[in-house]
Amino acid sequence: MDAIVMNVFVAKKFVIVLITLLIVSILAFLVPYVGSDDPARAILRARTVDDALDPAAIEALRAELGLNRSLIAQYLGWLWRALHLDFGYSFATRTAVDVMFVQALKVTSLLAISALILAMVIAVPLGTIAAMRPARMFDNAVTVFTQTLIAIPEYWAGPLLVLFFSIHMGWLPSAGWRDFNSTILPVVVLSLRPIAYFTQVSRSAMVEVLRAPYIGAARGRGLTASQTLVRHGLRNGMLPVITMFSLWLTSLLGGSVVVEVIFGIPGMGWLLYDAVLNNDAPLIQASIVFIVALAALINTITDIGYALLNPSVRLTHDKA
Amino acid sequence: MSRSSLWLACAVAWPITLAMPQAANAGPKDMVVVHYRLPASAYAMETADTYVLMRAGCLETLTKYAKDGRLAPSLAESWTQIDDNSWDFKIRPNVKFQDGTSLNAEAVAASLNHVLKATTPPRGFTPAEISSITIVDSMTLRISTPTAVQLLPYRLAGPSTGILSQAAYRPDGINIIGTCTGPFTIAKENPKQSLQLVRNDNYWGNKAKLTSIDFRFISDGGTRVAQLRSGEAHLVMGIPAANAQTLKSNKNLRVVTTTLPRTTKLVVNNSREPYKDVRVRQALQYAINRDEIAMGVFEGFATPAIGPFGPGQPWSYGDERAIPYDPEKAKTLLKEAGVDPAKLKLELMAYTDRAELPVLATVIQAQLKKIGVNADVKVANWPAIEPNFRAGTFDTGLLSRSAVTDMSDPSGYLIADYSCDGSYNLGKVCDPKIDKDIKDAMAIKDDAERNKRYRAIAEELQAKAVAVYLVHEQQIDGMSQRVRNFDLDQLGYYLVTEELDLE
Repeated sequence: MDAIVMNVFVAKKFVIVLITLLIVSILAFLVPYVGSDDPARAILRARTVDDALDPAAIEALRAELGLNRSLIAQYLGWLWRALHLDFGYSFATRTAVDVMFVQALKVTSLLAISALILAMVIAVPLGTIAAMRPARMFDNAVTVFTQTLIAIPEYWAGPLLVLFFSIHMGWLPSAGWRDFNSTILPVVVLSLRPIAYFTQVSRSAMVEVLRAPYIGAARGRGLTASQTLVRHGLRNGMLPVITMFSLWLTSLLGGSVVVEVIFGIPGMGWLLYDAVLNNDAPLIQASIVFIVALAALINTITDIGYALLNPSVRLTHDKA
Repeated sequence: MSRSSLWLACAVAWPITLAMPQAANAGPKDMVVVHYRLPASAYAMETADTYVLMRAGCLETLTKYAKDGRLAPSLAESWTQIDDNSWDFKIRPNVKFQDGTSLNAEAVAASLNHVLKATTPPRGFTPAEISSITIVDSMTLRISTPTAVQLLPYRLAGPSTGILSQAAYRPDGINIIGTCTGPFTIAKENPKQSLQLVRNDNYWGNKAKLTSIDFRFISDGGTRVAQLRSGEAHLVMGIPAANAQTLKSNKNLRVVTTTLPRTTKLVVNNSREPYKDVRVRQALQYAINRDEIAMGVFEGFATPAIGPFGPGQPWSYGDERAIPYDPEKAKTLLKEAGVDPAKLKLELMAYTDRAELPVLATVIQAQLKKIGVNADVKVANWPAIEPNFRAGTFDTGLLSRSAVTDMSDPSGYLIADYSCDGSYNLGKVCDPKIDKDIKDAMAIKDDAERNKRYRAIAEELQAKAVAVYLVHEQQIDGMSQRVRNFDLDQLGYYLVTEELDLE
């Protein structure tokens, strides 16, 4: 019986995901056509240096890309190919969209995971120390620190760090994605807000954990304060931080546009930025579907995971 | 507590301890160049990506422009007009592509046919304009045109007609590694990041003075400036005007300006009342203070416009026909045309894609106010503005426009912008005399005589006030004091040359 309930729950989840993706596919397909710009003109403008576009070239391009067909015909053709994981070729570069995606995703994954690991390495100790003596001077300083990080926009922090570390000190490259050194500034800038949020979450979690009866019991068994913290406190206090890690990873994989554009990093954010500037329809459409599919997939896996761990979730859902 | 502190210390120390000085193993003849535009079309030959290959010292063409703007031999050592419709090009002997294959008529024909067959071939080199490319003998190529075209050799200096070895033309796109003939070979491409260039020791011309070049692409102006200021780059193309003054005060750096064949103009709708009247358009010419615009809006990195073409071009006249700032004369002209300035609601469009244009619009608005004309400024991005330009549903609009792009000749610009059927005739200019003058000029064989006729057309455009020319723009490049022999041409074709050097 329990297995049947679980199977129904999972099936329902996947049907919802499919309907969501279908609706998103229609919206994603229409996005490049919503603006006032003509895609053929936008592509040609990106490809030539002459402002005066040749009307014959515009027509030839429309015909080659199939832009002179009806929107419905274009959508159905696109959907059919997308179902076979064929997102076509970028209008601008004539490169397969999936190849461009894989290249960009590799870069963004490295950038995002590095930033989030750096954030965890800094945030967990900070939050833990702050939680050990709540409302004291260090805790207050951490609160001010995290609020400041949240308030600093990336487009301000990036150039500021470049000014100091690249121009004045000459220690780090100001842009590019060539070697280890060139990753440091973008990783640091991208980690600023996660540091703030992870610190806040880890502090709150640790405040709760340190008040729990099993902490007192552990001390009662003769463990030192640091042994108790490491063996019992951190293990429980880390759980919400790990949840946040996965949420942030989804968000950053979707594109860290500002950081990637400032530092000239060829990742997902830059790919999207370029695609929108050039009205590169296949790239824009595939990007939107990819980001929504990624979010839907992670949310569904999380929901199923919760349901597996906590039967009340699937039962409540079933009644609803 | 102590363990947490250790973690914290490690985390903070991590980036700093691993930081090392840049370009530690760069040699004295290894240069870092930063280019402002990224290749956007996988180096397709019919696109602007070929400018990158040419600027990188890799791609070469049959003809090229010498320092004085005249046409000079390159991969073709000579050319002859056989009849009105055919030209023979003698291919330079003993030239090898960087992959070791020989340059001959067959290789050149294959390259040119490739670009001719593109869906969107470059302007001036389409099947409508080129009827055949045939091999006369192993080192002679004949190109025929359906009508008499005097400018064909000029067309063949454009980057899109560059010659690559057969290994470059793959079904999945252009292979740029080792397929050029130029003084530098592309050894490696880091997509969207850089090209690694090494000297081509088998180059047919003088051996390059530099050993290698890291040719980087950075689209953000601020980041390009940071590369120069931090010493990471030796030569940076496209310095934003706002940063140029700061760089000038740095004794280790040099700022070089090149007057571009690009002019910012106020397009006036010649088909709309009251701008149909030449006196109203002339009033706008006199109402605008170009010096104020050049100094205020362009921070001194532009020159007040003397007409449709900037100074220093063979088809440009001197500054004797520049329109002075004379608001009183503007008022008189409006009065003569029977236009009450207070009732003239002038619409002024500006697009945001060029950062200075919205500011320029407000400056012009203030200047027009001085003759009693109220201008209504409308600002949007180009895709939103362009339909109004094309439909003719506007009074005036700002436009930054290059008079030459794919060849050193303004005929394409004159036809597109000022002939009745021009594809870019945004000002809706239609004057049969101008049409005839352009056509006649293009048929003249002698370069000097043809340029003289272009000059006369420029005077005509200025006298008829078909548009209000505001400033001639400049390209601003920044470089280390160590850079030698930097000499960018007006078309911006030849950046990395065999002469470019580091002291």
